[in-house]
Amino acid sequence: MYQRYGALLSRRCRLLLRDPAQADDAVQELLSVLLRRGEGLRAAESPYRWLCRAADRACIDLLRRGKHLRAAVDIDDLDPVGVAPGMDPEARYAMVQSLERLDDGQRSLAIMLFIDGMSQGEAAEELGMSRVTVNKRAQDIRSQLRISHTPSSSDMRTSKEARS
Amino acid sequence: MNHPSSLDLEAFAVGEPLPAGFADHVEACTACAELVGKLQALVATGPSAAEAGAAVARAVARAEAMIEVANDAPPARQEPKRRLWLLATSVITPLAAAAAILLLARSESLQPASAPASSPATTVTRIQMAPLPSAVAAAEPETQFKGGAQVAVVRERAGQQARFSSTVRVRPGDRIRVEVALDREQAILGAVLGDDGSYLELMPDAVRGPGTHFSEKSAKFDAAETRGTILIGTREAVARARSTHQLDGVTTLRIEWESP
Repeated sequence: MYQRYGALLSRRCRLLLRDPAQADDAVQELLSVLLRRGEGLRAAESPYRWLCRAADRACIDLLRRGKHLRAAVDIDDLDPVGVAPGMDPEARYAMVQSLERLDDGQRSLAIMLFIDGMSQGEAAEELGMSRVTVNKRAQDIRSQLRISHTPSSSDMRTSKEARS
Repeated sequence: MNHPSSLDLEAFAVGEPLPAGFADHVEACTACAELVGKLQALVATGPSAAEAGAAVARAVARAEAMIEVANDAPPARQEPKRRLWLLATSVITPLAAAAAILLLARSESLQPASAPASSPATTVTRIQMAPLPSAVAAAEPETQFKGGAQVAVVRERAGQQARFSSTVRVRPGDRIRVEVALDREQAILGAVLGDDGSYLELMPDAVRGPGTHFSEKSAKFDAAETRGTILIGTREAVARARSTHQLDGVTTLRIEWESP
């Protein structure tokens, strides 16, 4: 399983943490979680999605603990693959750069919308919230990123409705 | 054109089955096909069998150093609580009942018509015992509690026990047990959700009556730094909190790490 998913999970952790060493720590922590509490993975509809959420939590925890210690490498140097079609690269860039400034609830939603490219409906379903709540929180995140990001950052679009 | 989410494209790249029509889209869409190609190339450069084996070995060592579940007896704190409960039921309650009877008898002997209007004692008694108009009394709802559960944690450190009703700080060797006070019968489950996604049930899902309940299991902390949240709620609410990390609908208490 690690051979199959390891590269993509490493990429994800590097993207969220912008620090290769911390990303390695996050992946290691994820493996440890899998060994201790991996029963959820077997029941998951999409193992990759389950692993991504566990990786997100490991990264968020590391961000919370050591945000002052990160090397914060630019994401262009960390992600050779690039952004998925239909996603706003600037929104993704702004979100990754400002991730540590968001609170935990905002981070989970921001990752879904701006890293995973999920629609608000999909995020609402996964988080067990109403679309109205997700929309409101997404607006809060966008306005917070505008404040904390460079003034040249363009306006962020609402997450696309990915699939019908 | 509407594209699938990045997450779905990544899942597709590692070979997970996705909804019908997904593969057709990737075949037809140059941009998505290009991204999937890049992702598959990245997957191909993933860890070798030897690297994966080494990583798993490190993770095994780490996992073994984490939370250890103990099924020992409830903490000694229960004994003083039981004594307090006995004191409350055997002494305080009869005293309170006697006081209530005295008040009632006194009010009946001081009817408004027979008492001088200027008597302060009578005035006070009338205010206390004034009956509500029948219409108002009928509309008054019966007393209700907001419900929910009050959560506390009993932490055992080097033989000493301490109780916390807000954040509890733990260090290696500490053991915690959850204490839940219910005001009515409820089906609840209690668990610790680690910030790293780990999950440990301390109170199995069961219907529990009003009163104070201690978790059947305790959690002992080893050297690995651990933070998390104690979740108390229905099985569904705890499961939702576990999967989404949104803590609406559950009663929580935070566990923070304390450097030794």
